[in-house]
Amino acid sequence: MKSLDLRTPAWTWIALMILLALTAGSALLPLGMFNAISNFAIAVVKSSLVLVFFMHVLRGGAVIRLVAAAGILWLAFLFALSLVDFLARGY
Amino acid sequence: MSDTTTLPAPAQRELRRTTMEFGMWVFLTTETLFFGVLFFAYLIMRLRYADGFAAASRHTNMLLGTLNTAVLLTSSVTMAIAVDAAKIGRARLCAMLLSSTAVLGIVFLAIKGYEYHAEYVQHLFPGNGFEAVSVAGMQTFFWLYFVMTGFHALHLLIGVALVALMAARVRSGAFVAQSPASIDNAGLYWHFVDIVWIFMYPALYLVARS
Repeated sequence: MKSLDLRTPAWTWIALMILLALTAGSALLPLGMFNAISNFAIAVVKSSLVLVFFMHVLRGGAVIRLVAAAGILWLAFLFALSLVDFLARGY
Repeated sequence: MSDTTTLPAPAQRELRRTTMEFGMWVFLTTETLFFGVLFFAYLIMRLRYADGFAAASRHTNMLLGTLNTAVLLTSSVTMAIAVDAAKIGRARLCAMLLSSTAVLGIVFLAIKGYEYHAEYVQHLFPGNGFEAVSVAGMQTFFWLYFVMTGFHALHLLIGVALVALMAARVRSGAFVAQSPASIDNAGLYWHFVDIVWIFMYPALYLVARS
């Protein structure tokens, strides 16, 4: 029977749980603007872990990496252009 | 034009696998934009009604939200190991892990359902009966809360059905050896739904807890 690599999923799980505790814990501290920033930053790190170690985005080859990057890029376009519109109207 | 039917069987399988994987990634890109629109609406409304969003977010159940995040993150781990098990042909282990993933998905939906019920009883569902009207924007927050978590729950429900179906097919026969690509794709979808929740959790539960 071929053996299974359990180390990578186990370490990823531990990292995700630590980040979850960090984001929940830091949310309880009065850090002002930094609360929102750290919450969002931790979410980005958690999703990166899922993308790299569970979805294997980096191992998927050039086409997969291109599609994943395009998704994030188009999302950034959507946010940037729409936000410019809303902010220019003095929202 | 090269005719793919003249390729040897392993090369054909590999071509089919990469095509399926590519298709799933393209689909997930469209899904990113779908959820992106909801997150953008959230961002604009939060900038507009900062106090209302802060007050409304305190009405969500942080303990259950955090617990549910842990449940979903753990389900991604069992899913990832299931995909690896399928790759090396360990069908029984794969079926067991797929079932565990589906069960964790159901646990998430059950906790979410309990939260919905509690929020409904507390008159936090937007509409005529909405009680917490002291700060402007609270109703907008809960409108977004139900739409965003509702669409996420719908995606997860589809994921649970998909993963449960895979588990049944793996258990019934030689499905693992024939087509691990479908299990790969179910995994990619599952992890994507997990990522959506990773962003919803701080956006909805952690706005102003200090």
